[in-house]
Amino acid sequence: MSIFELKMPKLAESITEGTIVRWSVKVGDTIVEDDILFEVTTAKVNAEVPSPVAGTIQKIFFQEGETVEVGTVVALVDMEGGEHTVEAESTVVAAPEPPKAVAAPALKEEAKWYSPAVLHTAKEAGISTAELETIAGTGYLGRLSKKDVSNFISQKKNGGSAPVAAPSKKLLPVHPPLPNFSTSTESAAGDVIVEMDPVARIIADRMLQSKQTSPHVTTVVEVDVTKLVYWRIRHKAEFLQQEGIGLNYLPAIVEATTKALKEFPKVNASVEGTRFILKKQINVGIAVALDDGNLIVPVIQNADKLSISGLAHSIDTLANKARSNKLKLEEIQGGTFTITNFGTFRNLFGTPIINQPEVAILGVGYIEKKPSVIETPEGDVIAIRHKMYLSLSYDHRIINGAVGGAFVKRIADYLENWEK
Amino acid sequence: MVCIDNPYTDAYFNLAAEEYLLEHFSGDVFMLWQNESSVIVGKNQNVQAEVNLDFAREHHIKVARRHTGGGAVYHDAGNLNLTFIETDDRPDFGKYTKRILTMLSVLGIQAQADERNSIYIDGLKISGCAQFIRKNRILFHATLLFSSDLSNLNATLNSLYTVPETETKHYVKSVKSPVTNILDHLTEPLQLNDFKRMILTDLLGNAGNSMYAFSREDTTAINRLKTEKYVTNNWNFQA
Repeated sequence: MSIFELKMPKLAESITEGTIVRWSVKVGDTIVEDDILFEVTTAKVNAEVPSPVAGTIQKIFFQEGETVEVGTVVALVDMEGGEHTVEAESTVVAAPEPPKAVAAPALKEEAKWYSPAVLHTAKEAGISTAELETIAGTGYLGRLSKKDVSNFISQKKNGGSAPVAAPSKKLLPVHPPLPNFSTSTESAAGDVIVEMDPVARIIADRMLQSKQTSPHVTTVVEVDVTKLVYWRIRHKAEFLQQEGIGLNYLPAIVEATTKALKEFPKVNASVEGTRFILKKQINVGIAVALDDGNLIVPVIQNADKLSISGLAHSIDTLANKARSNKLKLEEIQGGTFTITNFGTFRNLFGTPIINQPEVAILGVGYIEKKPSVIETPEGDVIAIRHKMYLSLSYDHRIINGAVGGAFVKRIADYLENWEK
Repeated sequence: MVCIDNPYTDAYFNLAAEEYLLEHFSGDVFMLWQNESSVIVGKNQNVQAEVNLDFAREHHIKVARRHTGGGAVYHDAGNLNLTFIETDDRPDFGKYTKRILTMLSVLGIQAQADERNSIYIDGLKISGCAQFIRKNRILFHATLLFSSDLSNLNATLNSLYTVPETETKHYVKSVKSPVTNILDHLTEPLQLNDFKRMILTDLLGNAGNSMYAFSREDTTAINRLKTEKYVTNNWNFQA
């Protein structure tokens, strides 16, 4: 005979005790694994606690209305047919709250605990512990249930190898779980562990999803922006006086991009299943780095309808709102194409990640003076020119190399021949 | 995650819908919902001690009990409810509060949460929450006062009855806080429906999220649960 000590579970982070409001079982009752045993309440949480084991209720220590600390034994279960004493259980639920930094390994330990029923079934079928570890658990705290093992055994008999738990409930379209970013928990002394803030988590998820969704290809063109540079020098004082904001290159780059997008509708698009959706509106997102290290992409709606000064004001307003955390939802959604300006950091070119569900993103490099060969009727000469790289990452499902290359070259052409 | 813009406004139906989704759906669920005037007490509360039942009766305010813990709340057409249902062995309910704070920040609202995951603007409460755990399925729901009738709210939740000290049953007492409406803190006017649309649009921008509407099979099952449990005096007025 073996006795299972049923303990008050830790219901959620920051919960240290709970009040038992109702017992669903009494001494002498026979229970099976996953039967609801009792109901616990805290100030905010109401929880129905299932049994991790099968057996007979031998003793109940706390009555309804009593408040019990997490980890305290609340009842004893006499397990049927148990040949394994379950001293291991004391390390499962009753483990003192592990320090934050080692929480993940502690959870891994828990996942390796198997109920006597599971061990018994496995032993009978000749399943090794190593094999048990490969089965996905669907029980309480992700543990293996007897059913999981039985399914595994019958699949094994039928020659199937993939351990798949049979879903019994109504299936819904669920996004495949993302790989756990924190799986690598080994850390040396002095390492600092930083919890991601919510925005950082969203960014991490979206970057990964984009790479998993779109086959990325990046192509780069070099642009002679000398005319654009002189245009800015000619107009910046007047612009600042008239408009109250500085004139930089980005409005010109957005304008050249929107013109090119009109000619290449497949770049201003989305891929949905087996369909391409060519967007009517041209809404250009501008990636803005925030002071906290995060990133946000406010969107210039209908960017093709705006003049240079309209674009300049729009970019200025959105960037300021982004940095002061004042962006409204409609100002960060609906983008159809994104521009990221890493030239600000004196970077030349890059391979930016597409902002889903868009299909392309333009990286703007640093503008610098370079010696350049100019062809003249009198022969070739070397001249000092202002040069910039434009990098385009595109989704190869919808944009092939000819279109992607021609599109970014078209932007370059507009900028090289800039005259206003 | 499936997102549900629940069109029904009957408190009993909606509370049944929550339990139905928790029990019969296996994936993650997000639901936006509203009730016509009602007062909803927590699972382990004494109705009489929490609700001014005379006022509720006179003003046709439904009295309902939910499956989650926590205290009594007042709902009307100016209040928005958000429900998250997920599968999680070690839930951290603070994450849902952070999501709601993010939703509010896009409205330009700088709100703060306390350790009970209630949300405040300038010290006035706009949101309360409660949770339910059944095995490894968890349900977190929260209210958002957008443009509610606050005088009705205060009157409904003002009961003159106190549970006698001789009572041995454990009741959860509501924690009362001064309240405010979100609308009063917006720089530009906004319709509650537009706010709902913004929340859903934002969520649908995340890969893997899609809209879901109740099927006939769903509403039949929910109505059955409503009739058997949520609308009964046995459940709502249990001592």
